[in-house]
Amino acid sequence: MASKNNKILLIVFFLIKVSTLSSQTLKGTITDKNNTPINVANILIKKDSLNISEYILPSDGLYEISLNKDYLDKIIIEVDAYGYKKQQKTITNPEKTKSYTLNFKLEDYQESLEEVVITAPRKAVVIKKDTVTYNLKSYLTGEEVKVQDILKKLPGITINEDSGAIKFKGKTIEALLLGGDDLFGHNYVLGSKNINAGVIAQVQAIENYSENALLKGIEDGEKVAINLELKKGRFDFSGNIDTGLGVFEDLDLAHFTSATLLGVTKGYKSFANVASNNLGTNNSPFDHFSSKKNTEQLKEVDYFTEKVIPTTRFSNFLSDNRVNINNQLFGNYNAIFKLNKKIDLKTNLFYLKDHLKNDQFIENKYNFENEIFTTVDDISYSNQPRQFRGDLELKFKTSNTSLLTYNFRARQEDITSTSAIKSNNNNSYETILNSDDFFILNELNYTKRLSGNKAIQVSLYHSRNKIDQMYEVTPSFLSEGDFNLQNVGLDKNRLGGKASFLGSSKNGSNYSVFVKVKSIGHNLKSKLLDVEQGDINNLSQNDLYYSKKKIEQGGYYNFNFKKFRVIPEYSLGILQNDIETIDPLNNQNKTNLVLKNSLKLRYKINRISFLQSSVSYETDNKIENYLFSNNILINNRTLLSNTPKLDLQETLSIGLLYYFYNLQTETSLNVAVNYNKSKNSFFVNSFIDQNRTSINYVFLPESQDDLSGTINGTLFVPFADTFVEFDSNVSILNYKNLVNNSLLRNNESKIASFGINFRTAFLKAINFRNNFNFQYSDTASSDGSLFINRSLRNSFSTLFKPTETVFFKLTSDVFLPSLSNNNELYNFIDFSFKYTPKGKKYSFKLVSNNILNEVNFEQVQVSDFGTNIQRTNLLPSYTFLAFSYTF
Amino acid sequence: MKHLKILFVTSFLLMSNLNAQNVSITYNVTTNANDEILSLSSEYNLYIKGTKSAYYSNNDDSKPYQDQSFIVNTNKIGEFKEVNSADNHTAYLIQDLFYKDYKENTLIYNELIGTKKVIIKENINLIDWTIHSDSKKKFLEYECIKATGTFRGREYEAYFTPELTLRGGPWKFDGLPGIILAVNSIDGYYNIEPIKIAKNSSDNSDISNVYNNEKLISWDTYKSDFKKWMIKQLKKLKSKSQDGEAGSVEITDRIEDLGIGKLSF
Repeated sequence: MASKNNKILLIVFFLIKVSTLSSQTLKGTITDKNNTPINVANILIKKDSLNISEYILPSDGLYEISLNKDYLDKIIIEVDAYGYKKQQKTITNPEKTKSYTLNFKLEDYQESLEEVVITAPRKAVVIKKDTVTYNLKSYLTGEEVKVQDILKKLPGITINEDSGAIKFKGKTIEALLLGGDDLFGHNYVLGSKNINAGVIAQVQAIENYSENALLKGIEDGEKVAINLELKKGRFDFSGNIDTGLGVFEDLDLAHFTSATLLGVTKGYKSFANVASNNLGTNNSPFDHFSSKKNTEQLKEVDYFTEKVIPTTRFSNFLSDNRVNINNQLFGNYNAIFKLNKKIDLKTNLFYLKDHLKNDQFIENKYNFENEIFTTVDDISYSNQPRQFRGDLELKFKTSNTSLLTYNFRARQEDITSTSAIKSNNNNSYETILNSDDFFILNELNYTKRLSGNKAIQVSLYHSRNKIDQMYEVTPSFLSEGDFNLQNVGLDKNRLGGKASFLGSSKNGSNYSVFVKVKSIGHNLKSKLLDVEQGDINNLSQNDLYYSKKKIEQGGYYNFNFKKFRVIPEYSLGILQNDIETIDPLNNQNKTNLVLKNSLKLRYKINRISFLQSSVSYETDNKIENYLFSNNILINNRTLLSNTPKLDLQETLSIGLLYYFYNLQTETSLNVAVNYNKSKNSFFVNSFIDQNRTSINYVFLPESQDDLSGTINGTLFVPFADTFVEFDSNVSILNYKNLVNNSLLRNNESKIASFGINFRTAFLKAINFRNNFNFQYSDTASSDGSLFINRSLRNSFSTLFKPTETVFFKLTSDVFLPSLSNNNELYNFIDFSFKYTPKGKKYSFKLVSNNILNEVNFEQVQVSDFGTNIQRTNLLPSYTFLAFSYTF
Repeated sequence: MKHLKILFVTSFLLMSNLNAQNVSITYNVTTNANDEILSLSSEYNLYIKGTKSAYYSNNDDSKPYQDQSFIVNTNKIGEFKEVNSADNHTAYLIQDLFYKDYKENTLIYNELIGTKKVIIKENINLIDWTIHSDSKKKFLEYECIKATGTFRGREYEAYFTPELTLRGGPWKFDGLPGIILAVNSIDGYYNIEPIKIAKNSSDNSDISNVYNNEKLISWDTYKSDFKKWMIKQLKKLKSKSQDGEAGSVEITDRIEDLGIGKLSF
């Protein structure tokens, strides 16, 4: 018994002994000559004098190390501490498993204080400071389909759901660049809505953007742009095909198809897109449904003349998708060719063909001082626009500091609009309107950058817009005749140039002075005929030529003063106006001195907010739309004419803005107040009876003003995991008009709207969205009458995603167009189901819209003499199945 | 008299320590992300004096903004530097400062969670190095010895020399018996090289702990706070997602592995 125990003990002892066989332990203290421990020292264990075998970095003057390596001959221990002489101790023939205690006492040592500097040749370092670069992997889910889906998620970038307009930190972007190139110009929505998300490697938001690279740093630094960097590859093709087929409620075929192709290679970048649908979607940047102007059209208002006879009569509260009964085919091709290091050629081609149909019931209730009556028009429209457009841009880098740009555009648009009208329940008309719109533009631009952050720019342009319209109303509306025929021909020619000198200085200020010359020739011919059994009566005729010549000098200075940023701007010009008509008695000419002054003052409160006030005063002659003095028939009951005058029009604007945008927490708040006052402008003088409306725009030395206030903001509410957006607006408009031989009426129109949107962000399968909007409008006239309308809209969506591949969405969009009158309620219910097989490039979708089949929709508007009720038919309920493939 | 003599001698010694040796190294730090476009190269400075060192970013490009107003905090060691030039033109220069105290064995530095500044305190010796004595390479006239080690998910090779100072290294790299002049991650992601070495320069200021009055958190606390912030971003992402999208947030571009995987909804 005892021996067994002893054996066990021996084994255990032996085992313990074995485990410590190979390593030596070294320990000890490190002190200075006064035995004070030295805190920071290095202990190197070496086998020979050259190479370090092991080491330990003790603190507090004590060390202990178990050696890991084998040392046969000797162990050299070297101790080094700052301010002390190096010391070495050697253990010769070290015994394994032995523990050695070695204490080091170091001697003071004065290190050499000689300065030594060694430099390596520098490499270039590039850090862009005005660019916010987003590392996409941190923000994306991998399920983004189009570029728009990526941009929506990046902090600071917001996209307007309807127009697709992109804003960065609240500012609308100038351009959406693709790999540094501006492929789309102002029509960038074609890119953001259609390019596949999968090709984008990086997104950059560039502040201080200049379209002209030579003006960077010199031009006013308020512009922003977004650049999409593409994933690298020598030659890249990417695209997708979406197609869907289904039925409407009335068993008509519902269809849509869209194909896009992006091609990128060394000297060539292109994006092509073809889309067709009859589901109410407008895939083009041109609006023929309600004639809203897009970004490009708003900037280029001066280039064009406007059709006198409107091709649409629609203004819409609902989203266009529900009301736009269409059949559209749209094609678009954009390409940039880098011909060589100096020349870039860009081209954009557009083709649009559409067929818009609409049934409208318009009821106007008029309430004048001693007259109350109602007019009713039941209209069945068919609108067929067709457009061809080609743009060309040539950029020639004549030298490192100069750039020559040539722009060319040609556009041809034909619209055939027909309608069948039943007026006041007893008169039936048929109308046909043919509009032919041709536009051509040539522009040459030269920029030269001078030394010292200065530049000069010279530009020349010529454009022509010719519009011919022919409108036929059967039977004749103005008499008992067979039909009325109205011809209108407009021809606007523009020729001009600008020379400017720009510069910026070190303290961040920039300035510019310019001289502008412009000559506009506007030709208008119109004839209104009444045809009765072969007899042609000329009822009204216009033949005029309007010329506007202006020479202008102006400038701006943009500078910082402590926390203020001050931007004064001025321009002074001589404007010569001339109207020549057939009847020399109606000729007018006048030369005016026009000026424009504005002052913008910005106080920077901190990095993320500022306060801004702006004041501007301007005089001008804006009379191009009010030139013809004899009647022109514009629809089955309205005649239009003007009483033009060449006196100066004055406008005063005052604004105050508080801007707060925290990019990191994505919270923003904007509070703005604006006041505008105009004096000397055109006022409406109308004569309205049950069958006919005559409108004459008359120039009066009267004033009108408006005051508006806006508060909007966004924030993320953490405890509810919800993203909230709100927008409220109040505006009061004082305007004047004359109706039915009245005295000048003073009217006041008030509009107040309040909207709030929620978007939940629960990390579960189910989520909600809600958009709410309330609007109040009233108009009061000086004769005491008051017309009020209140409307309400609420859209609620439920999103359900039970698995990775399957997704459901149910939306209920409720609209009450007039709360007081009839409690009519519209409820649009939409449903969609999407299946995306995991890891595959294709997906399926089942969509059913307007399930309750609301067939028509009524909206109410108020004016200073009554109420207008407009009932429109809607896109009927439809269901379709769609397939989408991305490559 | 004897006591006075001792006092005089020790104070002289102390003073000579004040005028003592300092070493200043300018490094070029390159981060190579998976995508070529995202590579970033910048300069950092390592200043070692006595038993302390400071490693900070060398953002000289505040110079273009020097003449413009709104430069906040021009203290070059420590603190974030905000350069607001034009009103909407803000350069937000984050100055990294790594403060090491070899006596206390602590490393204190600033980090970001989102844009919130946090100060982290760690041990200086974070890496278990293996010295390869036979592998040597020259950097700017100094012969360096190779050492390899793994740190938070990446493998590195470093080159250090005992000739200049006892300790020292860029960023969190330290714990070798010498100063680390170059570091390279084996996967090519991170690369640090010296471009200038200055010894005993006349700019001889002492290094003080700029984080003295700050609240310090541990590395573990930082990791868990970072994860909380990521979850918050995930929720925001979800609120903006296209109807029915799945989503995830993942750290893909970071030197150290924070141990937070992919967070998805």
